[in-house]
Amino acid sequence: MTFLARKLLGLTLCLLLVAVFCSYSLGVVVSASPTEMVRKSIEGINTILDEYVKNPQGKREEALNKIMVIADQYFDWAEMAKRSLSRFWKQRTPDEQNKFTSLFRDLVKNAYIGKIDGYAGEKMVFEGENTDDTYSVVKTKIISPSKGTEIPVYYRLQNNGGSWMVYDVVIEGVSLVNNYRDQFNSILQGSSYDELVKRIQDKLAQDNKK
Amino acid sequence: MKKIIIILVLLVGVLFFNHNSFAFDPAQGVSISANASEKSAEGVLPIPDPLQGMNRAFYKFNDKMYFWVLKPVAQGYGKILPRPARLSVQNFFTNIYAPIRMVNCGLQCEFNEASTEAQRFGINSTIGLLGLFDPAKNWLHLNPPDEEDFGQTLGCYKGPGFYLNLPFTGSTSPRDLIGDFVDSCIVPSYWVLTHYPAGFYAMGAQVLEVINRTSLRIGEYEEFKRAALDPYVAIRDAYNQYRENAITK
Repeated sequence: MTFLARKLLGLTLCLLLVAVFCSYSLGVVVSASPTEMVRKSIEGINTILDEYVKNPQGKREEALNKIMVIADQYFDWAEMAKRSLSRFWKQRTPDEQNKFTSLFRDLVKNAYIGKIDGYAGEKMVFEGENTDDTYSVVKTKIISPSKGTEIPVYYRLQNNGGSWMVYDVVIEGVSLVNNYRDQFNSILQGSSYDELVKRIQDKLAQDNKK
Repeated sequence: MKKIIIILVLLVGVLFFNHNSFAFDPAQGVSISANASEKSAEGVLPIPDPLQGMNRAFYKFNDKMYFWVLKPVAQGYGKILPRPARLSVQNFFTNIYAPIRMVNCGLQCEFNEASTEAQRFGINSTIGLLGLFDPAKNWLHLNPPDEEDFGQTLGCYKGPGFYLNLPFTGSTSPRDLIGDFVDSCIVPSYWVLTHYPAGFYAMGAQVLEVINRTSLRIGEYEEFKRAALDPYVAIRDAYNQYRENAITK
């Protein structure tokens, strides 16, 4: 009898442990906080950058592609492209929207090439987050001892069905998406959407030649 | 001298503006109102740019000045003076502008910040050897508050007016030009400036400050340009967002 009781007790404990473990790990997956998401993406990118800085010879393209793999997990390119086109987004067909999204991603990727070579082991600190059901702002600060600067960088995230994705980066009060929107607007108002696409493509082609 | 040039340019700018305000470019007018209706909760209203032709010309001039003159000079300077020394020079200039920040914190009723600025100024000017070092932050954890200037004080009451890009000055607005002028009356260099020949030293100090700062940040402007589709519009918007954000803080 005692043997059976002991066995039952052991079994219950085991089940309980499994249950606790499951719910814990599930909980982590479902509700990774916005700060955690940003931390993971930045840590991932910094690991690649640290590796690249040690041995940069001919590895820039490789490092950049690795960074983009991480960025794709955490950055909502479609949302960024949509916000940067603002009212012109709705006038585009779904196919055009997809193409523009990938063009926007290329534009950011191209911009990041300059960042890779300027990387000097800057330190990032987290300064809290403001979160409601759908939106979140994660506040960070980039401390650069070599320049003697501390630059506030805020990440804006949106809750996409349980997972937080970045849709804007705000550096010293300057929103990346708003900055592109102003540039796109000024071109769209003077000419056409096709012209805008052509100008982005020309710019990317020209930068790649350098 | 620099102040006189600024005032002259400002006057010319204002004259220009008045002259053109009646012959307002229709496309420009439409663009402003179209954008105004789009102001989102998190966005900043685009800054009007009635003098775009002039601004673009001056932007091009400043861009060339950077690549042809400022950057090579700053790079040479950076080779002579090691980085820690340049950081100290930067600290020195940050410290002598403390009265500007302090007064404007006060004018914006941010008295805690004003007091922090005063304490930092006192400590860094003495123990910090004329501001070359920052013991207030490093030892006493008196971190610098957000920087305030008279342009921001004015910004509590008034918008920027319109965008200006001026030779050597870069992005600014009538509001910020007035702000810069008032601020310059607060620092001692203004009073020195008006008494020849010390004025040359004060101007030299300003040139040194720009070269020193640039030497620490080589590559930033290049990076910014690479990211931009239209660098002029990108810089105009960045200036506008940056200033509006600084005012609301």
